[in-house]
Amino acid sequence: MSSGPGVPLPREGRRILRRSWTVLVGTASARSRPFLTPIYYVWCGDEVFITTGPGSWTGRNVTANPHATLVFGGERGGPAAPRMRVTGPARCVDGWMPPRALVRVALRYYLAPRALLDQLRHLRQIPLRQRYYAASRDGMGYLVVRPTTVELLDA
Amino acid sequence: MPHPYPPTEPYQSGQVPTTDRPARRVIRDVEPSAVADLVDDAPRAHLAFVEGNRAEVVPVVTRRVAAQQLVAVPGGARGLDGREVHLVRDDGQYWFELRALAVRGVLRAIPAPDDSGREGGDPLPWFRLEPGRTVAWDYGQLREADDE
Repeated sequence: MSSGPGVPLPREGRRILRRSWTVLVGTASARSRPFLTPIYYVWCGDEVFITTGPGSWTGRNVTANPHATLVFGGERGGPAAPRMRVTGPARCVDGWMPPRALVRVALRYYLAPRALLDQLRHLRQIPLRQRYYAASRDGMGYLVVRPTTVELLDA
Repeated sequence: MPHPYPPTEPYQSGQVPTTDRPARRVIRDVEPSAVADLVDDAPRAHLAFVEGNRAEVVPVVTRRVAAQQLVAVPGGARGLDGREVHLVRDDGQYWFELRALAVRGVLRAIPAPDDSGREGGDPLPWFRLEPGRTVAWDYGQLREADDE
């Protein structure tokens, strides 16, 4: 549909993003093996911030092969649901996300009413969640993808 | 300090040290049978493969016939016969709702199964997935591992 750094999103693409909660992140390993996984994200300006760090499979793949293919949408509606595919260079970053991205992650995935309800239903598992992430070997981090191509997918 | 946001991809770790007893791993993985509904009726299914040292990702249609996992590629991606792929079927929005079934395997081209055509459209290319490593997870089942 369009390409180039800082590609403008089509109206349909913005609509897909509003309804898309996890982005499918495709990467290739150092040995050229494919890997795909759904991850939380926020799109801020010209960059997509993805909540996985350098110790994950995706993080290690990006370190070895700094490119990612992202697919947004399709969570509901089956194969016919609209999707948007984005590609671009990716990099892994240690530490905290920039505040502008971090706040959006918190608002969308932690503090939204349905997110709060989800956590309320699983109160007893919250400490387990903390342990689950505290056990990461390589500390906190995140992924940044700078879109260079944007394409709406027809089913 | 706890993570302020939840990566939905697992880290390859890890034990949490305690002072009085061996730590038990916290896991989100489940048996594939625990998310069997995703095989037959996943809200979304996608396939990744490598083309020119880059990952390509395409939405797919999946079907189970007997014990075989069949995959159709609506986009008509070419040259997938014999290719290694990573098939992911997933569901959920919020943290404890997130579930998925991820299968690494090799595609083998097959004739289209019965009743698989598209009315008024081109027939889809169908493949049988020769499954390799399979990983299933359900964050709603987050728990301490039983094996330690």
